[in-house]
Amino acid sequence: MPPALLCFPATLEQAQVGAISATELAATFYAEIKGIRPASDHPFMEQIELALGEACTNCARHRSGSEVGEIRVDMRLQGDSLLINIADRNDPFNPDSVPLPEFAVAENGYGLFLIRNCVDELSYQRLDDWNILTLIKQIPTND
Amino acid sequence: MTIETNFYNQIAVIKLAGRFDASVTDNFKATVEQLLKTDRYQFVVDLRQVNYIDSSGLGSMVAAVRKVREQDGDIILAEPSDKLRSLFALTRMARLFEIYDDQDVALNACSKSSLTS
Repeated sequence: MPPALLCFPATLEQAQVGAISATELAATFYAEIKGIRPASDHPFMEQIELALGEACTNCARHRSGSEVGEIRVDMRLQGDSLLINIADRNDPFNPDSVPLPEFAVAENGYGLFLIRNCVDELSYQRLDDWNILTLIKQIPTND
Repeated sequence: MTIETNFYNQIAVIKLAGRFDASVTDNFKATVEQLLKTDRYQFVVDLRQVNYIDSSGLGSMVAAVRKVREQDGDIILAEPSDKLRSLFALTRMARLFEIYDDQDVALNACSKSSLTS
């Protein structure tokens, strides 16, 4: 299956719609490996849904300027893993410098913590004015 | 997400259904603030039909309970799914809220809480 790309406006509402669509796309890649689509309550799906939702919400929430930009999500298989890039043209950031949230006290700041908990690898690069957050999630082989 | 409010004596039961995500947190916060203005201070949030919650949803519950407790009230959570419960555990929300698997038990706990506050 070739790599797939989704593009949508960087509003909070569209970020949710985009994340839901991207989660469905992830199920298709899962089926490519496993031969069957995962149920919506499969841990793989729940974790991908949350990771994509948080990542896309961050793109919409940290918009630079008043103009609504674009969020791009592309995904592909890499061996037995799903590789997902979530890209926006907001100001650069460094995910490694984001502190852990103050649990049960803070009203925000949980997003990146939750993403890290949902995926196997997370990395960031800045390329041609784009922030690219790369998530890698292994497709489970033993279920 | 849909938000429906019912009243049991002085307790407001806020029933949420659907996705509790970043696009709807303002609605939830506004609902709680509006109820506070009408002198409702004891809340049960019915999570039975919430199939997804993200960090914004969690954060809005932290914001809401802070406001409610400033006025000596409380928010109790009822019937979250296993998925929500594991997120509450991961983010330590379980320390902040009383959580019950049965809404009637949650209502009883809320009644006792209102009598002692």
